[in-house]
Amino acid sequence: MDRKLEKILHRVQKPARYTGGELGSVMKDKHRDLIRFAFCFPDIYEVGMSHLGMKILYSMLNSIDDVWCERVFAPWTDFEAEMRREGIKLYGLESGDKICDFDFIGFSLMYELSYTDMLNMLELAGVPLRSADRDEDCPIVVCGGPCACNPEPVAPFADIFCIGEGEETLREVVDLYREHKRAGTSRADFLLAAAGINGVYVPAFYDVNYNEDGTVRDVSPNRRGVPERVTKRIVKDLDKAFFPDNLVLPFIDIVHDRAVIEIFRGCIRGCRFCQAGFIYRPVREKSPELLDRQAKTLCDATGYDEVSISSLSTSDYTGLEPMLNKMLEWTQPGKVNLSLPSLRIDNFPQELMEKISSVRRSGLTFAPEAGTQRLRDAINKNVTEDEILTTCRRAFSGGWTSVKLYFMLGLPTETEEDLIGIADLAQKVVDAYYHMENKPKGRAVNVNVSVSTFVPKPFTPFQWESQDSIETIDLKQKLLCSHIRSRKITLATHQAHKSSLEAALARGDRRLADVIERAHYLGCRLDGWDETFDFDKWMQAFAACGLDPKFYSGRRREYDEVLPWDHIDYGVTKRFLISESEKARRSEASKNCREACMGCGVNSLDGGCALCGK
Amino acid sequence: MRKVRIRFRKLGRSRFISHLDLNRCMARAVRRAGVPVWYTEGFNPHPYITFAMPLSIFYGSLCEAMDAKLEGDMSFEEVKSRLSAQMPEGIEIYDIYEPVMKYADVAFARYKTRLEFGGAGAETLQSACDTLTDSGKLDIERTTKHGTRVIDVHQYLTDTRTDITVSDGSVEIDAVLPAGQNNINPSVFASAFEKYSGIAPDIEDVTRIEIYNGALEPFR
Repeated sequence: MDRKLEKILHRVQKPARYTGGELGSVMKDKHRDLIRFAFCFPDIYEVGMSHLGMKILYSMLNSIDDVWCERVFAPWTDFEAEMRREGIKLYGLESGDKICDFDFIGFSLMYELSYTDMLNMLELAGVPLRSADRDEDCPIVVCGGPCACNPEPVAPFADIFCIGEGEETLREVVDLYREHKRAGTSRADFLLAAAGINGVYVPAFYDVNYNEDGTVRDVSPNRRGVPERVTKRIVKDLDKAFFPDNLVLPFIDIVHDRAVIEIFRGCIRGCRFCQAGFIYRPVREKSPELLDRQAKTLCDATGYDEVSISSLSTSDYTGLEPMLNKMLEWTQPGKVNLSLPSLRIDNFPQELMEKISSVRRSGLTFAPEAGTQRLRDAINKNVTEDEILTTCRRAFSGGWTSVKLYFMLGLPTETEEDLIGIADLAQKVVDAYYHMENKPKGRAVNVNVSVSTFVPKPFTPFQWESQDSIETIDLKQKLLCSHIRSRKITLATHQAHKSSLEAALARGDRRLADVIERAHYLGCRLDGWDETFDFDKWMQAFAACGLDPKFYSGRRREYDEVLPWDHIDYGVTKRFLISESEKARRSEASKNCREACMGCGVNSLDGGCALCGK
Repeated sequence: MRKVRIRFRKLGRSRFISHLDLNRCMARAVRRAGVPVWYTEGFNPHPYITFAMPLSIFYGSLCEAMDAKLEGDMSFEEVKSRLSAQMPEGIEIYDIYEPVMKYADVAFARYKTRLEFGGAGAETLQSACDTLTDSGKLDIERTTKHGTRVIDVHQYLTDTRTDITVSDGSVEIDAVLPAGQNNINPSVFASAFEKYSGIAPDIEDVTRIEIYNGALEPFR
């Protein structure tokens, strides 16, 4: 290890974030002719290392013989300051080499508040922030992840976006790059050829025109050979999709420090606020046998004693029971825990639940999202009060004493009654405990109510909605607080400022790039962290660019307004989103995809939809 | 059930693994190696592994000790070779045996402490050393969760077993310090330089060389 780096490491917290050398990290001979890929996660090590998408793509890229993919994370403020002072450039954890010399720099954009980290990392790497300023020697900057569904606010910073699932697209981009590297063609030629790959969006090849009122007039290609609209890529058969057989095993404790399997993609539910529920369609399941094998392989390779079973709604997986029964055959004797987040336990067999100790440890969690049935219908969240109370009663008699309830505040059509409903529902859960006939003596019930702020997102039926102002959110939080009277209920609310910025960035257009760049120069980074988030600096950046965040977050848009992401196609049609939006206004729920096809349009994608049979 | 003591070196990149993280790292290594160690019972069973003496992050060691209990009849050699294959870069198992002494017997540890003073010549450093050894008392305060205590570093700098080598840019102190109950961390040397000689080292490289019982016999 470099002596200068070692000295710095003595002065920072958790130096193992920056040393590499973990088991399972992939080493290749750097003297070979390799395509070097820096996979950057724009947040700190503990967050990035927990992310399944990165694990998949890291292994996938390294499975290609002449590609070496390395991990790069955002440094925490202490290490960043040292890097800048000592002139150390951002490096890959595997080789320790500066990533400005790599062929690719990839960014996984998981949340809008990480945009400044992308810029900060580019700056620390010594790579020009804007695509237009990069020359032939610069790495190709490729972005993906859920935020790529509205790539516009960060469009000028990326050379390429991979829209949709990256397993196949990224491989094709790398294959194309290899050809061009051999042929010695220019950067511009490569980008033009890349724009021909399905699912690839090269923002420099599109011009955005605006109306006088600041809305988008159109986004159109500025050269031939570039598609009018870019359609997202999906992996047709998840059983055949690449999945890692080993993981990088961190030394330090990370957010999700366990093996993980992905049981299906997509979601049958269609909750109207949930972006994941729309952009990851259609539902595609993996077979229980394959999942069982993948979980066992990962545990054997890593020594992990816990497997997380991941999906958007685990109870909706049709193979859940056979899969769990298969897994329990080796997890029980091997003392491996199964962890099932996103599990609805109302109709989950009791005996199976008892075998899954992690459910017991972490307590019960429900996400009713709204306080009244009326609003739950409007957002299409099909959990009823009866289901919640019945499950709680069952759990209380089984010895549980702690319940978590997740809600959202500021949802479209929300009234005072809906807010009071949150407090009422929490109170009913408390009452359910005390009305129990043989409740354990001397033990109190604990109901944790967590209330986040609604953020309208692209590709959801609420993409046209206005977000409440910060003042309104504060008032609503106070109102809710005043209706909670039991000391058995703990209320946690979220900082409205962050949600408000998130809303502006989520539905922003290309002009926001100036704001993000300005915020970066003002020192904004790690905006998702309370310690480092600086709302005033962001407002300063908006003002300096002559833009109003409320134009993006606090304005109701008409259905016929051209949206900044209209040239990106996620399969789900606007017509469908409008019909869902109208239903929301009538407080009318929709059926889930297994009950009936609602005609979302995703079956038009290559691969179709297995549920609606089209 | 047999008790087993595994001795290992912790050098290079593995010095950045903290004591807590090492615990987790070893538990996973044991699982991967398929070594039949005894698991704790109860709600959350995990391999029962204990360490003789925690090692500060950044410190290297040639003499770490880790105990476990073995179920079944796997030979010590087999355990050693299986575990060795699972060690992260920098950790090397060099011995395995049935414990002779108890952890509580550990009373001393020998450290090599290399203090680097960027740019300072040997003469300057020698006179700094002399200032320290000539003074009567070198009190350094250390605060732990058990409270604050004052350590007189002078006795350890001038001990007959202590060996000080001065060269351009660095001072190397080879010293035996109390360990276990009245543990003294070798970081007191860097503090003494900073507080009493007027020049602070900009980096401290410490390696634990050996641990001993009260009779200064190597720990077994």
